[in-house]
Amino acid sequence: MSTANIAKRKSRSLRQARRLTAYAFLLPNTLGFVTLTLIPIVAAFGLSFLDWDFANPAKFVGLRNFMRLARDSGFKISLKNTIYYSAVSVPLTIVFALFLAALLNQRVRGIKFFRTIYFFPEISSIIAVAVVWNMLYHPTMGPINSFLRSIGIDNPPGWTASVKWAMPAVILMSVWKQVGYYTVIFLAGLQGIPEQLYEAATIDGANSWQKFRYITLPMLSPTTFLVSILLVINSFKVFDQIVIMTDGGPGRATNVLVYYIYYQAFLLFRFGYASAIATVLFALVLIVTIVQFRMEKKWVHYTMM
Amino acid sequence: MSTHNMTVRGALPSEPKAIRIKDLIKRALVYALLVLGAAAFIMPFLWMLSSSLKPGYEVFSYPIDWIPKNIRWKNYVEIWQKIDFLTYYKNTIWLTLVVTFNSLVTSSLAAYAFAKIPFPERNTMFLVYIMTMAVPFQVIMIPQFILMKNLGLSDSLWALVVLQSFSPFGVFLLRQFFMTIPDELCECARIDGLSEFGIYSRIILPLAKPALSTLAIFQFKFVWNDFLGPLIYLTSDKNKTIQLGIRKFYTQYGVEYGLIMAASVCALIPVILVYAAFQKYFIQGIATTGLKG
Amino acid sequence: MKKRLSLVLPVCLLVVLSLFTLHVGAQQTTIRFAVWDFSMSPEYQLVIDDFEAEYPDIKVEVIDIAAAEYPDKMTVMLAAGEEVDVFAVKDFASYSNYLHRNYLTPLNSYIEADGVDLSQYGSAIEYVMHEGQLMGFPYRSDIYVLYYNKDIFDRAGVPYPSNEMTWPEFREVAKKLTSGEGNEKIYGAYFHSWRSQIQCPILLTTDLTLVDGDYEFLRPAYELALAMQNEDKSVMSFAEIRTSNTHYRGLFESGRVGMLWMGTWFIGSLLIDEHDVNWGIAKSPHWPGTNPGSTVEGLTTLAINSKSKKKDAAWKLVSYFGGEKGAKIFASRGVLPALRTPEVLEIYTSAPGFPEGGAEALMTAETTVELPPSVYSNAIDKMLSEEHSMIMTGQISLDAGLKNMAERAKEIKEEWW
Repeated sequence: MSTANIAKRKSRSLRQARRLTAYAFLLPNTLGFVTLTLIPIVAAFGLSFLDWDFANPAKFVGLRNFMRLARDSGFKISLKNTIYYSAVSVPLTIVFALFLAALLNQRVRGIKFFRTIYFFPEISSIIAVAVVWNMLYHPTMGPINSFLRSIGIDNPPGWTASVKWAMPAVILMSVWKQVGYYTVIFLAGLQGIPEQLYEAATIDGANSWQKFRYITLPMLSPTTFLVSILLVINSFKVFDQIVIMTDGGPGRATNVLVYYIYYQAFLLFRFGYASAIATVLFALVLIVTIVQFRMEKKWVHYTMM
Repeated sequence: MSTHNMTVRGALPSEPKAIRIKDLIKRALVYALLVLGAAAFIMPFLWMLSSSLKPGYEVFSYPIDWIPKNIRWKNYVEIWQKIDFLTYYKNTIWLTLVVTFNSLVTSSLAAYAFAKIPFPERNTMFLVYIMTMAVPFQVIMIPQFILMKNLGLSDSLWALVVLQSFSPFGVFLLRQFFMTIPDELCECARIDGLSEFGIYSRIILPLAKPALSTLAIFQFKFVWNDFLGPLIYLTSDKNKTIQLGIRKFYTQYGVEYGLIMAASVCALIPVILVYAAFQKYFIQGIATTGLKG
Repeated sequence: MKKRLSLVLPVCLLVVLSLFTLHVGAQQTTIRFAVWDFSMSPEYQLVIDDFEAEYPDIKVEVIDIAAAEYPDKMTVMLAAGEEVDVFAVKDFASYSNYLHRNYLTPLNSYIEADGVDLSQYGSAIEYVMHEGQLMGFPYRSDIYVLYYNKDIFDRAGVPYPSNEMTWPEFREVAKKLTSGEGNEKIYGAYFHSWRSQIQCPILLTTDLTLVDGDYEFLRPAYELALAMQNEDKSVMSFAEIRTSNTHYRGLFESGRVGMLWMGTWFIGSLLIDEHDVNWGIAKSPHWPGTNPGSTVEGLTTLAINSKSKKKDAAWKLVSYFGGEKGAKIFASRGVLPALRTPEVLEIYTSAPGFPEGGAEALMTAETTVELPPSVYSNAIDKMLSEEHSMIMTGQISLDAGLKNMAERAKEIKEEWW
């Protein structure tokens, strides 16, 4: 037998061995995941092709739910609102979280205390957060509008009482609330950047900004990738803040996809239709995520050399 | 010597005086920003604290009274009397610890496979894992519950343990961090005869302390504050968690906000303690010691 | 031989007897009863205790769910076929849901067998009947009355509201009672942010319901409310209520509201909360063209799960709650029962703290319900709330709002499936 064949056989068995090992590692998590999460998800997708109200037997309707979506003004409004929310809150959060992580990575006294404080909005009761923000947003007595009036803006926004400004109001509050979470992730990422890189750059005469741009950002890219995917997914699923701050209003100004899904499933009992909306949501997120994965090779560096 | 003060970065030894002023300004700026931000970030918690000491009808007086007119310490006593808060607290502690531990174990194992063991289906499987996070819980809630009920797991804390111990989020988070650990380390270890599991436990895990801490914190926070899961899977009072207990104060004709805030403050404390405890792994330099050695 | 036989017979008898008693002992049925706020409402336990004393072979197992989550949790439980025998129905929207999902057991056969007299339950009971069958047994009923703060009236020198007040008169009185600014402001009246506060009283002037699709009849009600909010400033603005999470209970009990149109459940709160408001109740104001004492009513009913295997025992619980015995216990705890005999009302109005002359306010003429049990109810309810918030915050004009309501109602009904 030629050495080439022996080598091929060896590499194939190596690959098999590798695969088996990989599956061994994956098994605990995947087994639970597949049976308890993947199966219900597939079931939920299957439900998009049925009409089911939880009680009477389900009826197969093929693509009818999807065709209804195309004519549904409520769906279109919630889709538009969700994209608006996502497109603004994701970049804002990334920038803020990065900035805060850099700030909180300083070796100053009491930094641990500050790091804890910045995490507070994440763990505070959403009601407390909503109350404080509603107070800030109060159209006549709130500090934000009082400040705006003092600098000459006569007609400050109505914030949560206004159709035009309700979504920006919710976005601002959401960014503030969730930034602590992503700051923690960035902080952990920053810990993984070797000191020698910065030392070498100092010796080469680089200033702070250059170090940030040429060392920190690239080395953080796996973390930034993680953060941006998580943010996109979570922003498409936004729900709790909407319910608490504006309940989808005024009118339907802040009605987002998951809010509409909840309405269809739990108020109108159209579970098949709600599943169809969820399928569309999923497809959208899938497209965005695949695009991000494609771009991963271009900007994400996993190791330093 | 692995700790470096970022504020002295860019300092050249030959200009001591000028640097010190530049240092001071920078430090002052940093502090100013930190304090300003902190004041903004801690406001809701301060409101919670202040409201927890108010009688119900004073909670929403406007503008906000930061110092209650009538301090009602009784709120903190009543929450333990009016609802079975102690049982809920115990249940929540048990559930959170078990799930967090399970998550750390299963997620790190799976993340290692996704990060360090090449196999053909790797990328597709990983994409599937991540994409399942995109499905809102409201949509899979009922099929999942029917499935769990058929497995005999309704009205039980174990249902939640089983459901939440396998999180794609944990796998994603850890995989990203594991991938920043150079492959050369693993190769060297393989050549030295270490098994995959050995590499995982002796090399990767110690290097990934910030990532593992992050996952621990997030998982703890998630399970501790989770509401929808317990709502669906826990019916009997003896099984309920803190979040469900707090909802009992939202009665049909009135909401007891003072008690809700007192209970929320009590509920917040363990999360802060866990966060503060895991903070110590967020120290720069731990990740690099492996490389130097 | 004879001796043995004489032994065998008693032994057999003993065995048979013991088997019989065992069988009887095992007859105890457990009914699972889902309800909200159980731990916060001691009256439920009292009724159950009395019930179990009267029927020792029936045990009641309560499934306590927090009020806000009750509808969703019930949806999940019923969808998955969890064992629930009796469940409380929170409002007409829920009733409509359960009805269309066939979760309700028709009760006429039980009612006839027990000879229950439904005429004493008021006219609103027709709303829980479907094709002649009673689908839910009412045990609690709340009607809307006018609450007023006597001290505010005294200070303004205005006589207390009569039982014949009209809504335009309500506006005039509110103007006189309003005083002050900012945090010390006393509001002549208060409309909570629910759409029902404006939309429901005027239902009594028409035969239309809120699902019929023609909403012109709402115009006078909105004109009144908007005038009170924007011109007279005698009520807190909708935007402010939403932004500052104001609740009528807190505001009224801190003595800042002169008049409040609210349900009789609030009486219970006023009796147990710590406050110093000197309060009274009068009949709900009525729109000209309707009778004084006509008002809006809400019914809370108990239903038997259509899938229950213990319907007979379930019926006993249901009829106990809604019958005389349950009604008396509820009345003694400040909860207005659905069964309103003179006896029951006597118990209700003699609670300590109950305002003098208040009993008259409870005498109703015609009553209507917030939302009829139609299959469109939930969707139209949500739509109406959305348009209501737009009108009250001034985002759209009243004309545009009413037009939207009609268009969207039409859309909902046409696209219905």
